[in-house]
Amino acid sequence: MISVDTQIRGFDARSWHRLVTLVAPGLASRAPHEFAARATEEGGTLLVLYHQTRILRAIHTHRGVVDAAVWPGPENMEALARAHGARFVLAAEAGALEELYERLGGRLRIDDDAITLSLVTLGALRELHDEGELHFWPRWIDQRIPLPTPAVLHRMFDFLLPDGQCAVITLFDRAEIDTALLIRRRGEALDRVYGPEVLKDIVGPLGGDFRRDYRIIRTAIERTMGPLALGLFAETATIHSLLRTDRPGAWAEAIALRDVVIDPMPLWLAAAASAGVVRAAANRSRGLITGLGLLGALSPTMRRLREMADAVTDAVTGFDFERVLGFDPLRVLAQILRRSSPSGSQPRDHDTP
Amino acid sequence: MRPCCERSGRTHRSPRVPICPGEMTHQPDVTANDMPSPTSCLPLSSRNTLASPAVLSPPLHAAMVRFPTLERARWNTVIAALADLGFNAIDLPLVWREHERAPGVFDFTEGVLSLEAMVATVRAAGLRLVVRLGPMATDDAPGLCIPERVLRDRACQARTRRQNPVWVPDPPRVVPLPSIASHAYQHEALQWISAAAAALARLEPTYGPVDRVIVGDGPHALLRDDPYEIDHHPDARGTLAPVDPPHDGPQEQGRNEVQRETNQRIAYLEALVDSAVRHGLSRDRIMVAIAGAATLSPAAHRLADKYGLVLAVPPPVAGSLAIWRLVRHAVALTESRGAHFDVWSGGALHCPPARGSHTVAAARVALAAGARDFTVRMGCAGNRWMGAVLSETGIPRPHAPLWRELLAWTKTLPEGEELTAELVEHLAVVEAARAATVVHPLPLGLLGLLGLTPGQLAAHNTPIEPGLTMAAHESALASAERALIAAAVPVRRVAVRSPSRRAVAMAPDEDPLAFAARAARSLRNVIPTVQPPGAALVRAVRQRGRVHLVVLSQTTETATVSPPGHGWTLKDSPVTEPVSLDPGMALVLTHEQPRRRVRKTSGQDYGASSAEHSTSSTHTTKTPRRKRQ
Repeated sequence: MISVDTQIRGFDARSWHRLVTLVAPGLASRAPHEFAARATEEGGTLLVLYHQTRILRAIHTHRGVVDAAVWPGPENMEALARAHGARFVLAAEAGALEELYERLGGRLRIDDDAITLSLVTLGALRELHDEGELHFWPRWIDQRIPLPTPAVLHRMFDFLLPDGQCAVITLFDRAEIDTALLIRRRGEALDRVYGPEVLKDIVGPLGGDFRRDYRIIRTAIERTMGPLALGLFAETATIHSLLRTDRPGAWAEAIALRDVVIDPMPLWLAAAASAGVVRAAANRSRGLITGLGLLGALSPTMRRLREMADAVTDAVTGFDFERVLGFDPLRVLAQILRRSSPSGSQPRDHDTP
Repeated sequence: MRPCCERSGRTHRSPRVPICPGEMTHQPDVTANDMPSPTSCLPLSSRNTLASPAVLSPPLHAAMVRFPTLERARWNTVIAALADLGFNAIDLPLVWREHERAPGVFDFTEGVLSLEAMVATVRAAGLRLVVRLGPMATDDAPGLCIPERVLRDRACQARTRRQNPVWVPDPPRVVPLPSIASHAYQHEALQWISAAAAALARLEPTYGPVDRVIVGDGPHALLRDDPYEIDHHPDARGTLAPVDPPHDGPQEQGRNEVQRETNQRIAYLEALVDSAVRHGLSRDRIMVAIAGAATLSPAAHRLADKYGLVLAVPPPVAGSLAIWRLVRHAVALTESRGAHFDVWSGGALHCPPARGSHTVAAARVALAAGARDFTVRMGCAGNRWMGAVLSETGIPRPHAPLWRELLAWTKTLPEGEELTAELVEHLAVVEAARAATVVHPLPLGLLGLLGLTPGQLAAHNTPIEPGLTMAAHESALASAERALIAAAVPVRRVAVRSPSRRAVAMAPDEDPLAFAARAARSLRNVIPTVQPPGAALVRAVRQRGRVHLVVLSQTTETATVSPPGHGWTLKDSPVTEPVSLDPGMALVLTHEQPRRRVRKTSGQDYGASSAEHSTSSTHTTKTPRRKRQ
């Protein structure tokens, strides 16, 4: 994870925007004159502050303050969302956010790393949710799933990126590097987070075909930064659609077809990709039986159907994200992204005159 | 540190808001009893010693450079590249934690910390200089720019009701917000300001005076500013019991909280200014940074007649109207002392990403609305800033040419007397809205920057004065504003109504639509025809015998603009047919006025054929006379 001493550089406005909005399209930039047009579109998040049955204020992320007088209760948040064209709702009883701040105030320490910070925050949010003070719609993660401990997440971090090694994501828009993220771990934290400008400096001129260029990129990184633990190379549009797909085995298929190049491919990822085919079959069966409801992705039935695939993964790596976290983060992310408004990024935006 | 009352030996009163006859008369009268206890006060400078207007000519168009994060060998390249783009000034934030070597020991000379070397580079490029002393000077530096030892000192930390630290994001961690009322923090902050001011003053004999010095935290919005949640530091409240947000219940305690909070902030900021002045900087070059939107800051309202204010322009996502409204409000608020705006190019790690073209578009809105002096944050930074104009190595990024075009365009923008309708939202409304917040503990300054008005954040039934609630006030202003914009009438929300009896300002009990009709009649000769209605925002300025209309598209449709009458030009070419206005773009129409004798007939409006009569029926406000460097 990044620390105060992490050097972060090499992102221009466009490449940073492209990277962030891949996983957080709700944060997409809009031109000032697009405000009114955006307000008429479906989407966005509705923040509701209420006291007993009265809504004190409802603020829509696209529309500003909206008229809503009566708090319909957490069970009717979906209707509230539909009435205001929102895809997400966050509601808080008056005083709940103060209580959240107080709990965080008493539990956080200045030396807490990002993992601890996230877990403490999620823990406090869950408490208030369980106490009926905070409400979220829709719900993706079963509230019975316990939060992982910091030790488990640190182990996951060790697993994904061992000390002294680098990882890179390089996304292309046709022949050009569209955006990139190059990280290097030193000790418990990342000491370098670099964007495409630095990557281009390191790599030099490229041919324009990522299926060939990945070797040059890997060699250059290993020469200047250190050993590469993981490299992902693809077209931005491919990753954009893969992150949103609910089709089981889509990632494995993309890797097999070289729409996504992983190089080097860690053993755990190779196993997971191989297992993807098995997972796909299992999930297709499950899909026929139960459909693809939001919470269905986390149902016990699905776990049983996945046992074979998990066994393959576990046998090789001893590590399984869903088993550790209690949910499949990629699947939950895909569900969120499918509900989110489009980021508005064009392959070629107009940052140049 | 000596208390203010001991120093001045007199009772401090808040400056009263000028109120015109017939206007709302509720005005909080802050007495000595409302002030923080003497022991929690900082020394106040004399209220009789007003700073000179910090209005410079030509306007300051600065780019911020975080020089300690750049390789020193690249400084020349960076400054030259920014000068080449058209910036005429460089804005240097001094980051406390970077310059502090040991408690109270500061380094402004070594390596990349060499202020003199940087100032020499800027001067050698023929550029002007803006320097920020903070303490929180910029939001890309870790730890709010404050040294770790100060952040970790519990005596310096702001507290919640339960005496917990007030954590604010400082990715990837959180840090405790300092308490501006804490004696320990005040001591530390003043020590820093003194040292930084002295270091800067030492350079002035060699490199000339710094064109502008900015003190105070911000102007990026603080993420915790709820008056009821913070600050419960013992130095902030003494033995005062916490107060619950009153919503639309009795307001007295809430307003006392807001006034207490405001007094503390003003005292803190004035102590910082005094410290900088004592250590050699000229008071008339100092401006004060205000965190968040001025529309929701009573401190901004009370300081505006004494200091120039430094304010953030809302991000692009806030929309054209919000940016336009806030800049117009700020320009009106700071008429006597000037304003310096911070516009965006990229953002710190915790800011939502903004595309380069969108940040330039937001700056265009701000400039069209009347922003004159500004800093682009960031011109160049070596770390933790995404999307600066230049890369970390000083190479112009893809959107840099857009800044070049925008800077060139600013030369076409008029300065002069505003001809406008006014919607008055004075200090009492701001204080009432803050006291009656229903979005607590969400940050009011940030929500204001995102376009929410005081009335939208307060309980509907909050009384502003007998017979007038916050909801009725907001509804009236919003209705009038909508009607005026739909009719392309120049309009602005202002904090203080012009004392001119000829002002076109909405009376407190006036029907909004009737006012819109009255303003449209009164200003008819500076109202263009915009199709579709409401697609553009209009500003009218009179300048040395010319009248200019700045018309800004605020929708995604292409609009057409027809000037009000004959004799108008666009880029010196006569306008004979409707002009097309592309989405998000702006144009400036000009009307040359023939010199005429002033006729003494009254009641005739300003118009193409009666230029000299304009002041008889329209509101005109003068831009302060400019001072040559």
